[in-house]
Amino acid sequence: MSFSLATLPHRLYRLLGVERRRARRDRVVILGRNRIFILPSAQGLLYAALTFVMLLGAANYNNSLAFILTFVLIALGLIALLQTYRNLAGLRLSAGRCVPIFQGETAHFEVMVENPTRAARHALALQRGQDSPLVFHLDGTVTTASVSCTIIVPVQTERRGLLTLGLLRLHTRYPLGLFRAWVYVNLDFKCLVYPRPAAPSANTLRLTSGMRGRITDTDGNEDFIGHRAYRLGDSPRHVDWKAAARSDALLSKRFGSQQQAQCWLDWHDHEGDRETRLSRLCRAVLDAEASGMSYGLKLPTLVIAPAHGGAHRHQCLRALALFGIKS
Amino acid sequence: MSITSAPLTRRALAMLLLALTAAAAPHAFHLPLGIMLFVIVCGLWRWMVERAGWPLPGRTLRAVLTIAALSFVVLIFGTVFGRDAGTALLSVMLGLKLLELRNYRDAMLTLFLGCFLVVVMAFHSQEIPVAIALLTALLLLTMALIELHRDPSARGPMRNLQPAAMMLLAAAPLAALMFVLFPRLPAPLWGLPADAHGKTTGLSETMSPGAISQLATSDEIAFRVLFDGAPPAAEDLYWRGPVFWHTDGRNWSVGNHPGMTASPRMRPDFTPLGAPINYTVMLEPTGQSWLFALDLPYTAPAGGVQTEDMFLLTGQPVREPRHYAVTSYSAHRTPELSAAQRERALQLPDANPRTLALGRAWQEEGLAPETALQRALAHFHNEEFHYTLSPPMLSGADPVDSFMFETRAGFCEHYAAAFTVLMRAAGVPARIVTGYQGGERNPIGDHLIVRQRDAHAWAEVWLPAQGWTRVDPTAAVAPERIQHGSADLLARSGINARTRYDFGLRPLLDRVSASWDALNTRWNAWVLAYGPDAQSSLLARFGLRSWLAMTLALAGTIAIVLVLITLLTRSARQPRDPLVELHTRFRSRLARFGIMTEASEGPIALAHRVRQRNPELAANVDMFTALYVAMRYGKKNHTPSDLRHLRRTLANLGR
Repeated sequence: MSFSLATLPHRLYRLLGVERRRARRDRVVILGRNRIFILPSAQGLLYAALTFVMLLGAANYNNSLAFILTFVLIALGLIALLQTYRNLAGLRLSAGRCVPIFQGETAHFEVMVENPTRAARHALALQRGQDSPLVFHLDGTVTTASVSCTIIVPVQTERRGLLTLGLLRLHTRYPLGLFRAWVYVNLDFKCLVYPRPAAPSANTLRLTSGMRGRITDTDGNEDFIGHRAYRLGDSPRHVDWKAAARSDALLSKRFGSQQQAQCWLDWHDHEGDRETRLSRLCRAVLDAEASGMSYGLKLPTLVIAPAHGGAHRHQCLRALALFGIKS
Repeated sequence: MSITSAPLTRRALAMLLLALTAAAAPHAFHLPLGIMLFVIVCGLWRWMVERAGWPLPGRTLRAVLTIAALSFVVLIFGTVFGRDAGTALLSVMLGLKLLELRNYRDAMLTLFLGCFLVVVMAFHSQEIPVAIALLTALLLLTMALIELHRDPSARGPMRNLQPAAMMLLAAAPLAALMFVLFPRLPAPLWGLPADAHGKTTGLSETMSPGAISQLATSDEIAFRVLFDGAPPAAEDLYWRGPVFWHTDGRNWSVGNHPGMTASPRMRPDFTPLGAPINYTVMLEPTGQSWLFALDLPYTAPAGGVQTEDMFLLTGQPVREPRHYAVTSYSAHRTPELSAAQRERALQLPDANPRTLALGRAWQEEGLAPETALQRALAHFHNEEFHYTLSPPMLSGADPVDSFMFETRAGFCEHYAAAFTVLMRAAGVPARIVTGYQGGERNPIGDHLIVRQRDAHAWAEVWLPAQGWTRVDPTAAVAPERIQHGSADLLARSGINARTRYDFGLRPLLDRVSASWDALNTRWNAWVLAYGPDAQSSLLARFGLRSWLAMTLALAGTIAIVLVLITLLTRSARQPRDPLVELHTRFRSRLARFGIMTEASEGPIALAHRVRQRNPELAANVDMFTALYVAMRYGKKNHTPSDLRHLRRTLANLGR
C-alpha cells in the first residue's frame, strides 16, 4: 500500500500496538466503543478540503444558498462519520467450526458474524493480515434475536499442530467512503492441522497381528449379509423396496465387512526424522481406515488402542498432529 | 486489492452519470453552448465505453482534448479566473475526468467535482427552483456515493434512495444550525472578481435624461415592503434613494460632498411630525450601497447609517438580498441650511440660458419661494407638456432648454431636472431625489412589491417655513402616474406584456403570481437576506454578540444535535428473551470449563456433550437444561418464579 497522509494515524496506532492491545483474545467479541477505530479516508480528507474551499467561497461572496449547500455537505460528512461507526458497532463475532485438515491444505475458519440490531450492515470487509478482504453484508433483524452469517476465512497451512486464526481486521467505508472504521479482532480460534500424509506406498502399513476374520455388524457399505426391520434413520437406499412391496413391513438391507483385521501402527516401525515418521504414520492411519481394519497407534509418548471409525481416526491423527508440540 | 482500485460496476457508473447530469444541468442556463456540449459528449462517451465497449481515449488524445478545452475556455472568457470562467473550467475538468474514469478513486473524485459544481451554481442563481434542483442533485450525488460503497448484490432500483434521503434528513438540522450560527463576514475575504455578481438593474449614481425611463418597462422587483400597520396612501409612497445636488447642465451627480457620508451626529437632521410608519424592506441586490426607505427615514437599520441628505447608506454594496426594518415620518421639518449647503443647492452651470432667464425673471419679480414653486408647477400643467415613456432624444448643449421650450415631452427625470434648474434660477434652493414611487400590493403576502418600472425622480425645495419640501413636478403633468402607479400607466401605453395575452385567465394568473411572489418574499427575507447584519441582530437577541460566542454556540448545539440524532436513530436491538439471555450466560459459564459451544448446537446436544466430557458438571447442567427446555419449548408459559429457579441453577453451576 502506498504511503499517504490518511494512513499516518493508522500506522501510528499500529506502531504503538494500541489496536492489538485492545484486541484481547476471546471466543466471542462484541464490537463496542473500546474496540472500534475510525479515521477519515484519503477521500474523506479531500472532501474536507473541498468543503473548506466551498465555505471560503460562500463566506467571501456572502452567498446564502452556497452557505446552505456547503453546510449540507459538511453535515452529510458528520452523519457519514456516525453511520460508518454504526456499521460496525454492536456486531458480535464468534469462532465457529474449523474442520481439521492436513498440512499443506487450506484451513477454513468459520467466523460467525451476528447482527443483533434492526439496522442492516453494509459492505463489511473481513481481512486476515494481507489476505484479500472478504466482503459481506448482514440484514437487520426483523423478528429473530439476531441475523448471522458465517464467513469462511481460508488460511494456507504450513505446519502441523494447532493453527491459530490470528488477528482479523473487520473494516468498512459505508456509506460515503469518507471515513473508514475498523476493528481488530483476535478470536480464540484454532484449527487442528494433521501432518501431511506421505505418498502412498506398500510398506507404510504393517500388519503386526495377522488377520483375524470376523463378521461384524457395522452396517458398512460392503457386502449384503441379510435383512433387518427398518429403523428410523436407516438410509432409504438401504431399504429393500422390493420386499416392502411384497409385504407391509419395511426391511433394511444389512451390509457388513466380511473381514475385520487388526493392526498396530508403530512409531518405531518407521525410519527418518520426526516429521517423516509422522507423515508416514498419517498415511498409515488413512490407509488402515480406508481398508476397514481395526488399527491402533503407538507413539513414544502414548498408545491408542485399536479401533475403527471416524472418531478413532480423528483421535489418532490428532495425536500425530500434536506430537511433540507443547499445548 | 481493495475497493479503492476495483473497477466500477455498471450500476455504479449509471448512478454516477445520472448524479453528475443533475449537478451540471442547472449550469446549462449560463454556460456557453460549446462547453456544455463538451461535457455531454464526454459523459455519453464514457457510457458508450461501458455499454458498447468503445475504447477510452488514450493519453495523447486526452492531452490534446485537455489543451483544446482549456484554450476554448480562455478564448471565450479571456481568463480562467472569475466566476464564469471558473465554472466553465470546472465543467471542462469534469468532462475530462469522465474520460479517464476507471476505478473507485476516479469515481470519488468525479463525484466530488459534481458537489463543487452544485455549490458553484449558487453563485449564478439563488432562486427557489435552482435551490430545489441543486438539493436534488446533492441527493443523487449521495445516492451515487452510497452505491459505490455498498454491496453490489443489493436489490431494488431505489435501494440507495432511502439511505440517502435519511442521511440528508439527518443532515438538515445540522446544516440549519450552521447556517444560523456560523459567523458571517461583514466584508469579503479577498477582492471579488468583476463578474462575481450578476448584472443588476436599478438606479445609478448619476442621472441623465433617459436614465430612469430605460427602467420603465422592467418588471424586475426592486424591493418588497411589509408595513407594520396600514400602508400609507399610494401618493405618499416615495421611496427615497440617492440625492443629487450637482449638475453640469445635462447630468446630475451625487457629487463629492459631506451629504453622501454618514451624518456625524448619527441622527437624522429633521424634526419628525405626525405618526411614525414602521415597515420592513426586503431589498433585492442593487450593486449600490444605498438602502431605499420611505420619505423620510428616521432610524437606520443595523449595518446602515443616516446621511445628511436623509437617505440610508450601508458600508458594502448590496450584493445579496437584504432585509431591514426602518421607521419613517412623512411629515417633518428640517433645520436651517448652512451657507455651504445653500451654495450647493443653488449651483447652476451656464447651460440652458432660456430656462435660467425664466427663473431669474421670477426672482426679479420678487416672488416668494412658495409662489415661484406654484408658478413652475402651473407652467408644466398649463403648457402643452406630455408625460411619455419614450421621450425624444435631447441632444445639444442645452438639454433642459430643448425640453422646456421645444420637445415638451419627457419622463420624470426630465421634469425633475427642469423644475430644479428653474427653482435654482429663481433663487430657491433645490435638489433632485431619485428612488421609487408607488408599488403594488400582493394580497397573499400582504406586502407591497416595488418594481424597477416604479423608479422615479422628484425634486426637493427648501422653504423657510418647513425646510426641505418634496415637490413632484411629474404629478403636475401626469397625476395618474402618482396615484395609480406605473402598471396602470404602462397598461394604457400598451407596453406591459402582462396585459397582452390573458385568455380570461387573468384572475387565476394573478393569484398564482401573487402566491409565487409571497413565497419568494419569505425565501428572500429568511434565507437570502441572512447576512452579517441580520445575523448579528438575530443572535444578539439570544445574547450571542461575539464570534467566539457564536462559534461556541455552534459547536455546542451541533454536539447536542449529533447526540440527539444518535439516540433517535439508534438501531434498536430486538428485546431479548430472558431465557435466551440466561442460556447465553450458561454457555459462557461452560466456556470457563473449556467447553466451547457452537450457536448451532441445541441445548440437549450440548448437555449430552458436557455429560461425557465433564461428568462432574453433569448434575447441574442436566438440571439447567431440563428446566430450560421445559420453559422454552414446553407448552406451559413460564412464571417469574420459574425464571428465578433457572437463575439459581445457573448460579450453582461451577460452584
